[in-house]
Amino acid sequence: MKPFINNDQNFSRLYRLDNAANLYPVIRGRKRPGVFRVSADLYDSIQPPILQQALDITLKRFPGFSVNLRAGLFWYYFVHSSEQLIIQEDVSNPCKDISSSENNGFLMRVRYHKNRIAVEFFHSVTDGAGAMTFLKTLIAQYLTLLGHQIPHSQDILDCIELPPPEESQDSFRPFAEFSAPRKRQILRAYHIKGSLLPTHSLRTITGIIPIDALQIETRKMGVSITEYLVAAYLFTLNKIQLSEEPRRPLPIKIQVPVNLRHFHKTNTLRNFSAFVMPGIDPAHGIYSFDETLILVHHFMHFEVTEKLLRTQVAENLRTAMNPFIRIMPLFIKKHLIKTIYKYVGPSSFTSTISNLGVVKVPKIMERHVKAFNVTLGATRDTNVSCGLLGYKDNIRICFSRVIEEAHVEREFFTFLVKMGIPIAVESNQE
Amino acid sequence: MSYCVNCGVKLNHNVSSCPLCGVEIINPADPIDQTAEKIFPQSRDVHKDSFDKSLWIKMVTTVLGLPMLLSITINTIFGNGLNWSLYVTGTLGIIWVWLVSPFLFKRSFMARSVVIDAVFLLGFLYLIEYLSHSQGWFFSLAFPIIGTFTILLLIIVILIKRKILKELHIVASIFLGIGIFCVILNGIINFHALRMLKLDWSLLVLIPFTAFALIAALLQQRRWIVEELKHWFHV
Repeated sequence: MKPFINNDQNFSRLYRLDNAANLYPVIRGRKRPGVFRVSADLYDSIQPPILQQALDITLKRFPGFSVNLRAGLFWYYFVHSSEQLIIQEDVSNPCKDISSSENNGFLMRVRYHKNRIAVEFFHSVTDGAGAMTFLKTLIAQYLTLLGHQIPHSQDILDCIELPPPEESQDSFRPFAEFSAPRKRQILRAYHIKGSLLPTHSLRTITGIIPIDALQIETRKMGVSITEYLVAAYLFTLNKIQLSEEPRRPLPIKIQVPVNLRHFHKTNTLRNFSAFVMPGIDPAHGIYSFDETLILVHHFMHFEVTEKLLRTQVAENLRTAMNPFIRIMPLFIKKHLIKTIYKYVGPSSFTSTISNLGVVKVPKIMERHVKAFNVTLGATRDTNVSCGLLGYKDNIRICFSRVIEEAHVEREFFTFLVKMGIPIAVESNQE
Repeated sequence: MSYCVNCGVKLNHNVSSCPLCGVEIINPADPIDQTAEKIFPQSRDVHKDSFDKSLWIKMVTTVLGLPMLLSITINTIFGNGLNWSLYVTGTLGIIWVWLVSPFLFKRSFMARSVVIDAVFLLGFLYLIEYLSHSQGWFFSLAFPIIGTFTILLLIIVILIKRKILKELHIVASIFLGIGIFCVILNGIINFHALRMLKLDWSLLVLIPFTAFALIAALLQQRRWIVEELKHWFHV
């Protein structure tokens, strides 16, 4: 995020949106909120006044999150807000769209319920890694106010220090490699069928899996946890598609976000991720799970490389840097992007799996935090999404959906159970 | 802790059914504690409509009310009583009704506003006929045309509202409605002009539109086509 006006207080007042962030304000709406959530379950009940105090302190350390969205003549931009972000009680329908008329115009929410703290972000503000840094810092600040000594390590930021400018930078531009043109092939993918829930509803089912049990399987097959779960998801979705007896089965493709911080050293808290799309095409025949797994394993090794990711980022940037696009007024650009996105965006993949990796916190904080969770918003285009992370001894796989039927989750979790992996399940339908 | 007999997954002890398959959980060794607090909140984040209806009504009233008052005042002071200003007032009044009536009701606003819009339009046209002294066209042309259009529209709106018409059946009913309306319109015009019931051009509209309606109704029978179209149009 590039600041274009600085004031004397050493933080920017207006911010440009980063390249990935530009898309979300255009496509946002009640049916496509562009909101995701990270949450943590503590061992003790939350004290709301202390949480509010902790939030007030933490938000000052994250000036890039304390923003309102405004529409300019050519692009959207963020304006710094010095209003207070008020904590809210948690609800049964998470990831609802964040309207600019509520919440003092903030593009994030902080919610609590019993022993849970949850933070919901509009995706323009940050990605999963930035959101997790914010949540961990907020919990650390909350625990500090309760009298615990939490060290500033494992991505927990010191709320007393001034925010360095690199935390607000758009890291896409230095990462992009423009020399190699690369065209992404856009093919229509299979979409999960089901009866849509009323607008603003989101059902979640979280599967809790012991890391050890999953690692036995992944080591046996010589693959990573992400590869194994993506393959299991592809295999499940293919089974569902074939059970519908389609005239022409479509390819199954999963969008897997890749955290670019693993490839380019940066402290940015803004969006900094790309994605790859492993998939199988049932037109070639019936894929066994082992075949699917091998395919995903090699695909990930081939695609998730610095060179290809740099080229992908460059390709995305090229559109935004096109002089015709740049001088086009926002009201025209908005409709153009929205129309293009509708027809080439969600139609090219079946679902999303976002792996936030293993969440690490200082030892002293582990005594207070029982679990972390990530929930992706689902839309009518991709009506089932999946977010996962590891913490302590467990992996939590959270499926969110906007359809009545839980057949995707059922197929996925029962497949893992059949592979000998024990699973405990929680749902917001309870 | 209980297990789902269908899915084999472990469940919380206060869960009465499996969230994956819906099967009832019965475990005599670990009965469900109905009084236990749920781990997820029960309250919903209700959507607050960001569109301010009352502000909209006030703005439309002000923007249209000012020229209304102005024209009446000018006509009264500089003219011989109210004459031309009634046309201006009537036109602005109709625009006000069309812009405001959908926001006056919380429920079933479509059907009600269709009726209100039609009633006010008829009133306005009657006013024009009365003021212009060109009698004869209101009851033989305007009233039956607007009446037919309103009734057809009302039937479609009510059938959609009651979910009797869905997806491609809506498209079929619109095609059929246009065809029927053209036939009635043709009949009304010819009766007004020639004093006889004769259909000509409307048959050229009715035949293809009925064919389109039948195609849409037949496509509705194929679920996969409806799904494909839904994805294509992103309904």
